[in-house]
Amino acid sequence: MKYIQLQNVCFSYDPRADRKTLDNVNFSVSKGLIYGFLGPNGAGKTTLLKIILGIIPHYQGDVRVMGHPPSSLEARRKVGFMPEIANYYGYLTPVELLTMYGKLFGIEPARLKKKVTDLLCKVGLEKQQKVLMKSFSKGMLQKVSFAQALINDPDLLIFDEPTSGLDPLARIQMRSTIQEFKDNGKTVFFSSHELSEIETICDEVAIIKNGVIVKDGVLANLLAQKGEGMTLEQYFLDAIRT
Amino acid sequence: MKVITTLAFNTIKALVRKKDFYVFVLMLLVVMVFLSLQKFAEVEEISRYLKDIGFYVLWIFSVIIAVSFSAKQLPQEIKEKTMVPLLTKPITRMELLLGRFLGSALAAGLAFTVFFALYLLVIILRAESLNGILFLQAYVLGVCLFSLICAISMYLSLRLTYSAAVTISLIIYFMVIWFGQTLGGMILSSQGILSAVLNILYYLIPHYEFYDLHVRIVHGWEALPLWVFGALLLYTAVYIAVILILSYQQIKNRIF
Repeated sequence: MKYIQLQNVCFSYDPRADRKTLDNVNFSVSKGLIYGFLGPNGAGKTTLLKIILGIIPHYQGDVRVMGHPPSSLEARRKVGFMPEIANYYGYLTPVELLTMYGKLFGIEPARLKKKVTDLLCKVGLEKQQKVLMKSFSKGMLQKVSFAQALINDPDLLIFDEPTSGLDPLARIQMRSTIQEFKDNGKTVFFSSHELSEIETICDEVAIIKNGVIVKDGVLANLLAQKGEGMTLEQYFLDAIRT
Repeated sequence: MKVITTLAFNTIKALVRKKDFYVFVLMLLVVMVFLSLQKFAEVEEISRYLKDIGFYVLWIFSVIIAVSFSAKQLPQEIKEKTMVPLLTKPITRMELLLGRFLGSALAAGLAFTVFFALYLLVIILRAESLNGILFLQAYVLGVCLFSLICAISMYLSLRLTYSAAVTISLIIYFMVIWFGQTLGGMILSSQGILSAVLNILYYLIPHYEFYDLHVRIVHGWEALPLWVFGALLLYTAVYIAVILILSYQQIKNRIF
């Protein structure tokens, strides 16, 4: 089953502009994979993520998330999203934020309470669970962000730069958690600038340049096509320079 | 509905956890204590004057809270990038709008309730005469007024910057309060196109002056007839519904 499917997707913030932000984008993400999405700054990564998340409601082409239109509530119920910039309501504690989000998913109170406690333990914020988030560091907010993405026990996780702002230990932890998701049959789609990270954990990748997907497929196959010893970094540089 | 109330309670938490509200409560408390300590040899006019000032202060503080709080909701959500994760949850944009509106209206209503209770307390402590029904009407209409102000400020905040929305909301408020009744007289004395323009203006503007019962309170007049009170509640509901529909048009296709 395809968890994410894009067909001939075109989008432009300014319809009068010559260049489209996304130009005829096609790719799909199968169930149970870790899919990496790469591209230089301004290539259209965040725009594409916003379309997949249903935040950009109008575009050309067809997008399906687990078989549903991305802005439908059915799709959103099954998706967890962690944004690159983790800003949350400073006047709330992590417990209150997660509880609020959990209520939006309609999780029943007793289950939600346990879920919130478990998630905050998982990300290492059990001691700060009742501290207002306005005093949190970037790394702590990133952990809250990670926890909120998991509140609905999603089948599909979408991360935008998941390890930015995290210390090395937290990065390693994050990587192993992403791997854990895959082992549990979940699907992970993430954009990142960290090529080594993508190379370590991704099954498939897509590279976007100027709104066009220039390469996509199984990571090992893509690298093998270019000969032995090819790293993702070299491959990426070749792809965006041509 | 659960989604709307969840967002609304989150909004109220913002008011309760921020300092602005407590500063206003403290200021009102100082004004009220000062007024309650005034003794002018039982001169009735002075007593009315003090009642008038007290009511005016509580009203203005509530207007400021309603405008500044509701105009901040959505722009702040966009500026601080909390909108994106929120919109990835299973909520519609209409629910988001209604939740934030309800939260702002409840927060403004809560602030008004605290101020009104303080005012009432001072009146009771001064052993002044008190028309229970009139006070109840003044309270309910106050809550209606601040809900309407919240809806309009929120709508303006979707079209303008935060500071412009606050400024224009306050300008609208004071223009209507000062000139709303005069406009009726101007229509009667005008003719032709001017009369038509003034008529349109009269039916378009939010008639905040309808909700202000302070003259009745100060002079100890009777409560509003029930049908007038009912008509005002209906007017509020219709006006808020129209403003919320216009606000929805502003956010339904917006890219955050």
